[in-house]
Amino acid sequence: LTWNLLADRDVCLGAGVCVRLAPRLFDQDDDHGLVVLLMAPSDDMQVQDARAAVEQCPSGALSFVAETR
Amino acid sequence: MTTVADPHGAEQPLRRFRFPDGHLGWFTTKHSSCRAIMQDRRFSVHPMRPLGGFDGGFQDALAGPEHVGDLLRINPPEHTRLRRYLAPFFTLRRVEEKRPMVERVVAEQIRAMQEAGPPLDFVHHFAIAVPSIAICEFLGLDPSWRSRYEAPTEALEDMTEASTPADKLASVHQLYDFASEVIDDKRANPTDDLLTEIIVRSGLTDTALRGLLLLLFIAGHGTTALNFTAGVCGLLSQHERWEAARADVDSVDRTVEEILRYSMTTNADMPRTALEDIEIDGVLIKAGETVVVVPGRPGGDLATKPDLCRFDPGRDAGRHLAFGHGIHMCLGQHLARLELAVGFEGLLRQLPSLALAEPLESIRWYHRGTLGFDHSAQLMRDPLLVAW
Repeated sequence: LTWNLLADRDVCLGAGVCVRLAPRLFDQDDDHGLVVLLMAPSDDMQVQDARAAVEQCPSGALSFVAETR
Repeated sequence: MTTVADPHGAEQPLRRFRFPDGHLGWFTTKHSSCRAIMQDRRFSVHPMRPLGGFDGGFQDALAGPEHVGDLLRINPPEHTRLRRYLAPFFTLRRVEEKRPMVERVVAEQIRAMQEAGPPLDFVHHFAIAVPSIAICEFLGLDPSWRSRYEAPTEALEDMTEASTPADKLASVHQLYDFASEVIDDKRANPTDDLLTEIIVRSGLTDTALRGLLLLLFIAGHGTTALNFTAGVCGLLSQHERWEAARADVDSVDRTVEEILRYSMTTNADMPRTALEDIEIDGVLIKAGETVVVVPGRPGGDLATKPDLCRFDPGRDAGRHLAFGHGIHMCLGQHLARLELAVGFEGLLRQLPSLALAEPLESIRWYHRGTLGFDHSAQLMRDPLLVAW
């Protein structure tokens, strides 16, 4: 099972909710304040954090898709 | 009109609401509906007609030409451009860099309280002072200008009969006059700060700049002030709550989150107008109809989690709508959280014996009487006597 975490910078408005909820997975770049993906969630805890970030992202810029290989 | 609001008020699903001028709209306090509407881009934050003073004239007073710079009153694509322009100045990292400034502001206010001695008014010595001085420092304005926006904001946010729609409109114009002076001052004396950046480089017209500055200064101090007051009331109303928070100051972020969730003091109840026919929670809202969205306190589904009615600083507050949701979610939420966390940590550590110096029952709350429900209670800027 792989988790595809996607961040759409064309939709992102830089609220920073994801960075607060999951600072190891997300960042905001200094120039635009928009989302930057740091890494894919690598354990259950991070998957949970990523899920919370996707759900609470105010602009709808994040999505999270599980794929079976 | 002053009343002690019922904090356990049940969620109200979408129902018809008649604005004072007779036109029909909707209103709801149901968490899931509020959240769905806030997130749905088919709703506009700019009403198609005046709202008839349903809120004492608050929304109508802010609907003038200057609204084009007010993030809370414009839609995409204008909103997207302005929000994206401002985003890099309000990131979590940029805000966190201001922690030493916020710590200094909090320490200075606590020192001033100690020098003045108890009992004193918490609202003006701390709750308003801390966020107001901090937003001045954050934006780059000498805090000696504070009274220029604090006084009109107080009249604008006063939901009792003491403030008429005409009073609110006059307050808004005082705020625009203040903004005009700030704009002139920064143009004449540009400095290395956010206000100068916005005024010189944003490309906004002066009309739009006035609207944006009004938003930054009102939202930059008023809501956090209310959260400080509501939070201190909540913590001090039961001695064991204050002691529990004191025993675990390291968890102040969690305490702050519960205060945000429970006190629900943010003006997140922006009316939304449907741009097309939209079905929400099984109800068809017709194009052009306005919904008054008043997220209640619970921050969740009361039917499955009735315990959410209780203020419990020890809990994980989970997701709440204190900063709204969707594209209009609060721009300054990281700064607000930082101020509240540093502020409560300072109070818990420096004034450990803090206590209310007046009975809880004597504290005035208001409800949005014109709406006919008392779900969205906020503390007025009445004095709140504390001692230590």
